[in-house]
Amino acid sequence: MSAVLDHLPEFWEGLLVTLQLTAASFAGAAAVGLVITAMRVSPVGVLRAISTAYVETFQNLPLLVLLVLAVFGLPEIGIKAGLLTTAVVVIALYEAAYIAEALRSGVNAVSAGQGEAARALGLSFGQSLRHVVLPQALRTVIQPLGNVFIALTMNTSLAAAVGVVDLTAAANRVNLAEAQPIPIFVGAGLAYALIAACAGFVTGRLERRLGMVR
Amino acid sequence: MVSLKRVAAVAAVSMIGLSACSGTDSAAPAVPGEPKAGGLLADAPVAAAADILPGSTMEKIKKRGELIVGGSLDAPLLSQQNPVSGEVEGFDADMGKALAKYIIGEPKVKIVNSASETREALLANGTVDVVFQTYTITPERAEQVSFAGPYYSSGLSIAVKKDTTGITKPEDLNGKTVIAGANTPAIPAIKKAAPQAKIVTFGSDPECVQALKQDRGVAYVQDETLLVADAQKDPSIQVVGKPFTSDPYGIGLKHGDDQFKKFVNDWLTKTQSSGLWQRIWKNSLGTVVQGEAPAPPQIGSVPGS
Repeated sequence: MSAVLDHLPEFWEGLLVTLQLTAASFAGAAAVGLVITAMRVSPVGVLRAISTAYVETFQNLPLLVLLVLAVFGLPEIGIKAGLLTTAVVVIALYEAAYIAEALRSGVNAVSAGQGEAARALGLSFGQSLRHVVLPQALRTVIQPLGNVFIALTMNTSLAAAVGVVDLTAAANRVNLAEAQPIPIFVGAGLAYALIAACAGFVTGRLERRLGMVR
Repeated sequence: MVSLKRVAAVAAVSMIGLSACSGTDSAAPAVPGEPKAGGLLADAPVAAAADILPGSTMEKIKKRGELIVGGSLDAPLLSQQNPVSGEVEGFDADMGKALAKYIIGEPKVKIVNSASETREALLANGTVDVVFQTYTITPERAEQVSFAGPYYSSGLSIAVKKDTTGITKPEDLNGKTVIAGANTPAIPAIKKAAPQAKIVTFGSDPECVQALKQDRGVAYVQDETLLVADAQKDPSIQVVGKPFTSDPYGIGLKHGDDQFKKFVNDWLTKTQSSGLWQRIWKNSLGTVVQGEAPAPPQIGSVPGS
């Protein structure tokens, strides 16, 4: 246990980086995912095609491949950002595909009559999406979105492979000095579990508050 | 049809990305070295039947007919799998084969790809018999595992891009961003020599070299032998100064197995006196380091061994 307790500052710094990665990339993923969903249900064929291609591309490539390509490949064509920034952008774009799919299933759950009624009232596509469809869609997908959040939290550990010193990288470094892998990685695992448990608790509360009874 | 077109477009995009990345890697020539472990070990010593004590670890290995080694598959010159032949080549790999020959009579090894997170556990639970993996002997580690050897002594050096000035010794790294291999002894060594340096780590040696060339850091700290090999492959980087640490590599064994430790140390003495150690060095590390094989370190000479 002392292997963990002696290195709490390192773990804490790593945990902060993991939280930054998680919060920033989830915010980015939510914004991009919302746009992609709007494109997927829009009446314009080109937008639907682009958004479908986006989702298929990012869902069918492993995140680690994307991270390595972005970190080592993009500088070759002159695009270079910091390691943390690169990781946030890549994870956000990747998870946006999953958020878009969750949101789309929510949109599909809203009955067609709702959209028709909105149109009959004279609302434009954007208005009906914003005021009628999405508020109902979001309520049905709180739990799936929570799952995406948890998966995203776990996926941030892949950033350790491209030089970001997150919780996983910090645990690796502590283990290098202490050679006590079991307590060190159990400690890091508990920290991840704690983040996931918090996310589960919040989504559970939100669902009870906002969930629709039909 | 739409989905077919989409798949084709996705494939095309990812191919472009992949070829852009691999293009830089494959430009470097393969690591030199003749994979002739068979000929190398033809006259390697074999233990007398009396040395294989009944009920001992060596007897268990001999009965199994295979030595299970914890090692790497991606460490150039030390333990790297040849993608063409499938053989694992290098100094650590050949030492493992020589030990297998000593116990079993045949250089039969199975390499279990282990990492610095897992090797103590792999030894403790008996998944592997020995670890040959640039395993630096430290008193902390010696509480978890037993070390035979040291069988090789190396040191960390600094590599920079060709036109870099102002970095000649580890203290110069203070306040700068330094690249190191993840899970290598370079990380604690940099922290000690230059506490104000910011360390970024990447998983493998080619990634670190790529990161250095792309200015992710001003210097790359790694085992001197590896850096010499890198600088030879890639003229845009150079090694500066002399090694600033001394890392004695040990053979990791299950903690407390003193019988096996003595047996392995006896074998090590024999390989060194018969000149086999020197030939294995010449065949691997000696292909990039100039001159004759260095004097092997004194067995049991460091704390923890």
